[in-house]
Amino acid sequence: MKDVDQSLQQRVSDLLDESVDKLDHDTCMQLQLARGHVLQQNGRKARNRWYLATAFASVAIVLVAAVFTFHTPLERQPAGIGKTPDSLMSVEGPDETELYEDLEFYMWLSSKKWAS
Amino acid sequence: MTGTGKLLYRIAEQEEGQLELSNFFKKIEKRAFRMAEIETRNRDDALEIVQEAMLRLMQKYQHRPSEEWKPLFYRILQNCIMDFHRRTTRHKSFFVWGGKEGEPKIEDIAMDENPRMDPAGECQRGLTMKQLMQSLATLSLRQRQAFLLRIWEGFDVETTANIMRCSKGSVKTHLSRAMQQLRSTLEGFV
Repeated sequence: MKDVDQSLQQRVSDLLDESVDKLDHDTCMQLQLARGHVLQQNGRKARNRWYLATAFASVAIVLVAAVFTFHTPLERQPAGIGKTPDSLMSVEGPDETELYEDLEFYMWLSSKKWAS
Repeated sequence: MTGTGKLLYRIAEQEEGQLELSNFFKKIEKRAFRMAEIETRNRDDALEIVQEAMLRLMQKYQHRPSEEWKPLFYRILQNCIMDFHRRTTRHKSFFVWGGKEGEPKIEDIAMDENPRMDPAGECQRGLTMKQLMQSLATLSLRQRQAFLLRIWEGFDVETTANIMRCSKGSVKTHLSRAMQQLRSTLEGFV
């Protein structure tokens, strides 16, 4: 039974293979067209992705260029201009602060001398 | 790798993938067509099913390893064939009182003979091929699937079960019954 089955299976497979090899020209062309149509859709999808990525990249570059071109950084103004005497200390550096503290000390010292 | 280099590499990779997919389809399309035609007994329906299966594989699974494409493709093909049978069975049930439910058998579809189908015409031993097609038509859908996938395509039991979405035991049962039927109908021709 097993041999009969194997022989039958082999015969059927051979026949089916033969029918595939001798497929008519029209059907082969139709299959080729179908394949081309499917692959074309894949190519179109990939191209659309690239177009979108390129468009985004271009917009991003233009925006960055515009920001650098039109943005003017604020110029540093001399310290103290437009500032009240009370706030003067807050904008000065540590050296200037030390100078004012020394001046206060000298003033106090001189006042003490006169007192003694 | 610079940005431009990466871009060029991606493009080359995609084109290579496209070529590999194209070669795969070229290798498999005729056999898939024959399988679909055995089921539908209609050349145009078979072509449509094959194209649909190619499209679905490309859309969902082209990024899978290429060695997986063949079983995936046949699974999709069988799904498309099942959809076709469901559509035609539903159509018939609409017009026929008390239409059959459950698994559609090829005997129901065979009632709609398609004069354009002439698979025997391409073969030298026309009588035997014709008899084979008639014999295959007497099998149920599942028996035919099991036979074509196991015997003709050479898939192992496990892969066939995955393609048919059934157990390995069911594959063996369907195949056994298919062989029994083919033995009785092809007796004297082999």
